[in-house]
Amino acid sequence: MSTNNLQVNKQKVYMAKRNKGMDSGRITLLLMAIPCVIILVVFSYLPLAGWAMAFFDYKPGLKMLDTEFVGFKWFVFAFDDPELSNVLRNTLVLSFLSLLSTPIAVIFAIFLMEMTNSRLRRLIQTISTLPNFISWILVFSFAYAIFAPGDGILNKVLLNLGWIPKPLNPLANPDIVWYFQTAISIWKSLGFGAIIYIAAIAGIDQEQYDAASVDGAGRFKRMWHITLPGLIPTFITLLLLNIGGLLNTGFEQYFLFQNGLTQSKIQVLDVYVYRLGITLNNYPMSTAIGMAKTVISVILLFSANYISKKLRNQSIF
Amino acid sequence: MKKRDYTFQMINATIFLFFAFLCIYPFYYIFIASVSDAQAVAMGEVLYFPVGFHLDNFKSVLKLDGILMAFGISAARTIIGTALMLFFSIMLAYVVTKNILPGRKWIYRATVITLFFNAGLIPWFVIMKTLSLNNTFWLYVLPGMISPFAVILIKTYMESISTALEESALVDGAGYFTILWRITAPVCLPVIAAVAVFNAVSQWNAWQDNFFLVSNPNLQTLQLMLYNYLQQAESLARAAMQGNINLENVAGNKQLDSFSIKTTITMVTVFPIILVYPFMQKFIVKGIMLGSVKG
Amino acid sequence: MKRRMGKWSTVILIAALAFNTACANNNREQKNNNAGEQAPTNQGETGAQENPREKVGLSFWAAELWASSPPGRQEDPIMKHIEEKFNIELDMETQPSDEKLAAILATNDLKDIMVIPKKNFDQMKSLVIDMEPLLEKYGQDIKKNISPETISYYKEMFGDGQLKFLGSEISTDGPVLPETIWAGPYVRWDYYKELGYPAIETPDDYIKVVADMKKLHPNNEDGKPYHGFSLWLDWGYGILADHWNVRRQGAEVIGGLTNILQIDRESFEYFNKYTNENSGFWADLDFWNKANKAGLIDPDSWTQKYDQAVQKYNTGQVLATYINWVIGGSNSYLQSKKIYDKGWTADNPIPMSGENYYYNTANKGQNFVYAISKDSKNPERAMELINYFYSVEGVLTIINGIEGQDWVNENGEYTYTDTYFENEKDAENALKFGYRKYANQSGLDITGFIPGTKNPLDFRNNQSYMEIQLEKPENALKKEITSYYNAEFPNKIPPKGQEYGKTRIAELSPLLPPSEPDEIKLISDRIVNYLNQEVIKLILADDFVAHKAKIIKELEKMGIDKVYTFWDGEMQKALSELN
Repeated sequence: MSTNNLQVNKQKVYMAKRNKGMDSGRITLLLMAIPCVIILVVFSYLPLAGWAMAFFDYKPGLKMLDTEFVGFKWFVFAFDDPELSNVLRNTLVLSFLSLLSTPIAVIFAIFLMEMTNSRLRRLIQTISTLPNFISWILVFSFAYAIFAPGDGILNKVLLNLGWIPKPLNPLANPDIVWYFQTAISIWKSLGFGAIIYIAAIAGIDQEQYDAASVDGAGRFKRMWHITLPGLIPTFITLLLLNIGGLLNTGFEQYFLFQNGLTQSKIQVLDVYVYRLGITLNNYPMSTAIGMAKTVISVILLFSANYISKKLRNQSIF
Repeated sequence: MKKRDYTFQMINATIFLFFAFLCIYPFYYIFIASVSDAQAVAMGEVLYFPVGFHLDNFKSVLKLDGILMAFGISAARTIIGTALMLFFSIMLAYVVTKNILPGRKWIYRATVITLFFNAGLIPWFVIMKTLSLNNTFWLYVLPGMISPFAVILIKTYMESISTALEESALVDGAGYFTILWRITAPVCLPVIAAVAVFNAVSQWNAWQDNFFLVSNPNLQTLQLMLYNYLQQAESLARAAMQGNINLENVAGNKQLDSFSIKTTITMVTVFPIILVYPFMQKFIVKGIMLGSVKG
Repeated sequence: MKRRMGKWSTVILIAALAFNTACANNNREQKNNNAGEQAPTNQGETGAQENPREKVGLSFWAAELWASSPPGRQEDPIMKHIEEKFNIELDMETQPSDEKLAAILATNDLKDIMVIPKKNFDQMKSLVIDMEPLLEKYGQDIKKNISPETISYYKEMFGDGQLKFLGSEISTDGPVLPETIWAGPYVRWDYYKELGYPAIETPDDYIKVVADMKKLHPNNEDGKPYHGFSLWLDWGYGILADHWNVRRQGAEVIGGLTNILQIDRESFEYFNKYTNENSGFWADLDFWNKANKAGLIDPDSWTQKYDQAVQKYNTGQVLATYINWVIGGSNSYLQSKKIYDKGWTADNPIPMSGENYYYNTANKGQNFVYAISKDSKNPERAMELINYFYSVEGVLTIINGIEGQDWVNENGEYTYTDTYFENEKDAENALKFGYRKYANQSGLDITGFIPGTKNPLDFRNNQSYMEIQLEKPENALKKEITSYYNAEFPNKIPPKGQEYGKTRIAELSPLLPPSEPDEIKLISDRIVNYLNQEVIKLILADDFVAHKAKIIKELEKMGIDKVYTFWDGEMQKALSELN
């Protein structure tokens, strides 16, 4: 009888403690959240007030409210361009190709972690991140030194071996430009981007592997049933974010590698916007384009997320 | 079984070594180019070993006025900036996983979409000026305190770990703040370390905030100093273009130095990262240890 | 756990220390600056003149310097001299960029003195002061050296009646030397000698000469094969087609992003260079097309950037060029091998038929204007400094150096001292000693004479200086070339029986708008983008004429007529104002 009472009491105490904990916990959480939210608002949301600029004929130096209200004029201006469809096509193709290559980072991480010699593994991991630190200007210099039709190393070697009659010019070939650029992108970002997957693998419970070995599962079975599922949440999260960022290909790479012969295929939205910005020196228009990009990115993100929720019951939110 | 494993290791290692070669050779080339005679580099003679070894490029860089201070500033912003980022982003990631926080869903969504925000240069300027951040050290470290990317990754990770330890700590009367830093964060070390590395690299390489908003010579970052240095060399070439100096009389072919300087800058910038990097790797690995203790 | 905490605290401690030092220095710097502005302390400088004025700090937004240096206080002797003379501390923004300018305009954070491109004046009208009232007391040299017409021009065009912006690089007298078309045939002189100095009257002759040279000398001193020409296209097609044959036809190009008008230098007749089949533009492209068919163009030209092209010149791999400054690199290369008597002509191209030389008539300033910020605390001191840049003393100093130290004036003869000659040998003399570093801030056109005399502002244009230069061993080749043409100095090689032409373009260009309105700009931008791609294909094309016709048709579709109509209108306006 008394033990029952004791148990009930203990439970009551436990519940009371938990409830009290919940209230004071809520306050603690709020106190923790508030400074973070303030930071977010001040540094990420307040600047958005500048979006108003997109609707005025504003030039820096003039007071915005003194300038003419022009509504959507700049949006039309920027997007009423026959070139734009080309630019969008290039952007989407290159982004899509890079999406297709995100699994490569996963595979890279998985197989790297399978290496038993830990010193070698750590060395290779460090080395693989080095291309990330080479500036795009130098990357271009290399690509040029290797692939140039006149003095390029590749052509010299191939001509010497007699494998080709005339020098190749991959840098000027519009047909392969998309694949060429994607390959260079992969080389540059693979090692560094794999870090997050390596960290995720590091976080998988070692016990699971032990248990699986005991059950007789071989290396590949373990990869498939333990490592891979452990990575999927991170992978899907990053994938969704990349889909949201479909229009953001980055600017430097494509700006440096563009030339007259490949321009029609290599000019991406970021380069196009840069060009317009420089020539027109028109801040409201650049703002309008930035606004449009944000809106489209958010829509893409939510749509992709919706599909992910339906398919895998995994949402980024 | 053992023999198959051996074969696998060999093939695996070979493929990775090949890729590692692709990654390190350009880097190695940059290194030997930075210590070789500029003419030889331009002629393409430098392939495997330095030719005409000299440390003049590095000496010039180290002799730059204020370079040590710039190193210090860059190091300070990397460490302080990353520390602040970790503190606030981890905290935000954590509170957003707690059901009892009112409005948590909206806070999280509001954070995620800021990844795609770019209000533009002018609004950024106006805000920084209004907050009186321009020309101060705080400009380097405050704006990045909440990194949406970090928040997303950490939050995702936190949701995948078991809450048993947390719950018992709660019952024992620990507050959420203590729990976060004593229990949850240590378990998330791998992803925290990864995120820290990303942020540290980005802080180390940052220069635009410096270029636009900080003119105080004592607050210059290493990147901007090196950028200025490069501009100096290239402006010689440009001056020649305008016919203002007669390059025929220039001793030493300064025109060639542009490439040498670019390679030297890369080395100077990357070297500290390479030094610190294995340090960070240990944290990612340590995660395995802690991870296995979580049960 | 404890050990890890230890590591972390050390790291944080180091960071804090570094940061602290930075802060401390920061405070110290701030205090210095503040002291400069507030305390009216009478700081006697070492050996300075009597200066009853208080020391003030001025900030200066400069036009691009001839030697890039970090922003802030400038360390060269010339600036130190100026600061001492006016008892100021000058904080200079040395890396002006359009974006930075937009930023300070948006936040209304202007420097005391602004030297800005003309195209930005519109946005700044309400942020700067009227300088006219200050001219009487502080602008004596401006009034002396700049004509009243020019001043009213700036009041009218840029300030709605007030002198808010004053143009810089205004010519007083001169130029001292005629200007040459700098784009033209440059060849390797000793090969040219071998061929017997063949005449180069037309572009076709040029191609033949280079082809012959390549046959004679397929490889250079290092055994590497020569290219005929090595081009770069990251600067756009303009560098290939807007400089050479246009000028031989006695014209210039002007007109917005596309530089659509080809306009005669003297008569001001103009036409649309793209739709006119005989313009200099098409003549240049025809030349490149033929050069390519002769196998003279480096195949890397289409993909390489300027840096890679220059490297080829710097290692002596290219035989010829139409642009003179890259040849300097080739000559340096030979000189590094101690070869002084062989090399390329570099000062002036080989004279061809057509107009090769011309004199600029007086101009009302070039691309920049001076202004003083409304929020300046010391507009009078600012005006004083600006006035210095318009004074003869000031211009002589920023170009040639400090009087007494770098040059002396003996009875009206200006000569450099040995110190100057010694310093000049350093390639970085602009940076270290400041010679010509601030040339773009000069109020007067530095290619001119000292007003009222026959002495050049830049002493490098002195006869005595040029004589000395020619005698130097490095210039043995130049001497040889000069004497072949029976000229006195390299830049006085006379064109074959021709008078120097006069160009009046500088009278016309200030009357044209600095840029097009946005709707036209958009069309122009698209045309430029299209041409950047098509020009390469044209040069590589088999049938030049057909491809050219295709391009012209496409340009008409893209709306090039609209661009022409706009500029046509502006030209009519400008011409009527001129007359």
